Amino acid sequence: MKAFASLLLLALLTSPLFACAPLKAWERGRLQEAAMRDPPNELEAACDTHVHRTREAMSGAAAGGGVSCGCN
Amino acid sequence: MRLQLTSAVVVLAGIAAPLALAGDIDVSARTDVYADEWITVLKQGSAASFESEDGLRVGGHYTVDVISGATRAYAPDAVSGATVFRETRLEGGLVVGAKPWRDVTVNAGYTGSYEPDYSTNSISLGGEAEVFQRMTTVGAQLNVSVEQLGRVDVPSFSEDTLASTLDVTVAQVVTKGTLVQALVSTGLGFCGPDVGCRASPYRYVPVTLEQPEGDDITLALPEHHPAQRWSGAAGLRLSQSIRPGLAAHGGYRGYVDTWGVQGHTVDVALAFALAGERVLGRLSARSSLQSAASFYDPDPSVAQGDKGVSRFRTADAELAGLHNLLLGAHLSYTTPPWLALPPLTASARIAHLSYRYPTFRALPAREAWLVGAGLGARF
Repeated sequence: MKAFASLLLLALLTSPLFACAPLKAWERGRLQEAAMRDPPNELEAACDTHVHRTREAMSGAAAGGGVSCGCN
Repeated sequence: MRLQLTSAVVVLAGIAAPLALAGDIDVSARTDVYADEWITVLKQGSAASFESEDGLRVGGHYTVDVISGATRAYAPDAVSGATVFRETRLEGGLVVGAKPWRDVTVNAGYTGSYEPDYSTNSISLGGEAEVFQRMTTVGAQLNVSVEQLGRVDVPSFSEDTLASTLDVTVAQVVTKGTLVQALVSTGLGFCGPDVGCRASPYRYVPVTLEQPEGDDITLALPEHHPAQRWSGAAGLRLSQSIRPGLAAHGGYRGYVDTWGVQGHTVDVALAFALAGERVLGRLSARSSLQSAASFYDPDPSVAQGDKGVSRFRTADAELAGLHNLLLGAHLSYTTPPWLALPPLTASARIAHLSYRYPTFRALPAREAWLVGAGLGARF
C-alpha cells in the first residue's frame, strides 16, 4: 500500500511540473504526427491488453488511451 | 397535392440528414493469432465508429476468439496428463460520446462477452477535459462489471463477481514535441465465496498430508481465492518526437493489490513514418516483473500437528512470480485515394513473448508468438 501511495503521489505531482508556456494550435503539428500516436492501433492494443491480462495478475494504468493533445 | 408535399419533405430530409451528420467514419478489422506450447488463440476483431463535426461519436466493436489447446490437469497421484479443449469467446461493445462543451468530452459504453463457462456485462462512464489553455488533458473512466463464472460439466454451478475499476489520466503537453501522461488505476472486486475471485472451478491444487511413517497422502483440493480484491496501479508515459517522422515512446507502471502481488512493467517503442506517413513502423519492447500472491504455493504440504489445510490456495500461473519479455514489430501502409475509394490502411505485426516462472515447477518457462494483420479505412 505504501508503494502504491508513493507511486500515486509521484504520478500526480510530476504532471504540473511540466506546465510550460502555452502552445498555439499551429505549434502542435509534431504532436499530431502519426509516429506520435500511442498506441498506434486501438484494435491491436486491445488484443495486447487481453493477452497480458490472461497471463499476468497485473492490470490497469497501461498504455495511454490516446488522450487528446489539444491539437485542434 | 398533400402526397407531393410529403414526398418532397421526405426527400429533402433524406438529403439534409447526412449533411447535418457530416463527419468521419472509421472501419477496421484484424486477425491475430497467439500460439504457445499449450494454447492457440485465433482472434478476429472488427470495429467501426462515426464522429460528427460537432463531436458526437458512436462506435462499436465485435471480437471472436477461438481458443484451442491442451492444459495440464492435476491428478491426485501425479502432476501429469492433459485435457484437450476448444472453446469460443464472443465479445461485443458499443460506446457513445459527445462534446457538451468546447473542451469537454463525455462517453458511455457497454461491453459484453460470453464463453460457455464465463460471461461478463460491463458498463463504462467517462470523460475528459482540456484545461490550462489546452496544455493539460484530464480524463477519468469508471467501469463496472458483473461477471458470472460457470462450469460446463456442472450446470448448477454459478458464481457471480462484481468488479469496478476507476482510471484517471493526466496528459501534459510539455514542448512542441513532448507529451507526458500520468495514469492511475484502482480496482475493487467482490466475488462468490465458494471459489473466490479469478479462481478456476476446474483447477485443483495437490496438497500433501505428511505422515509420520513417510507414506504421505496427496489430495487434489479445488482452488480457492479470497472473495475480495483491491488493486492499484500508477504509471508514467512519455512520447517524444525526435524529429519529424520519428518518435520514441516509453512508460513505467507499478502495481500492488491486497493479495500480495506487486509488479513493475516497463515498455519502450520507436515509431517512424515514411513516404508522407503512408508507411508507419514501430519497434517495441515490454518487460514485466511480478511477485507471487501471498497464498500462492506450488507444492503445499500439511505437516503433522498443523491446524489444517490453508483456507486459500492456488495453482494459477498468473498468480505465480513471473518475468515476461515481449519484443514486437508493427508495420502499416496506407494507400493513396483512388477514384471514389478512401485511403485503405493495411497493417501487420509480429511479437515474441517469453515467460519465466521461477517458482512454478510445472511450467518453468513459456514461449509464445503473436502475429496479426489488419485492414482499415476512413471515409
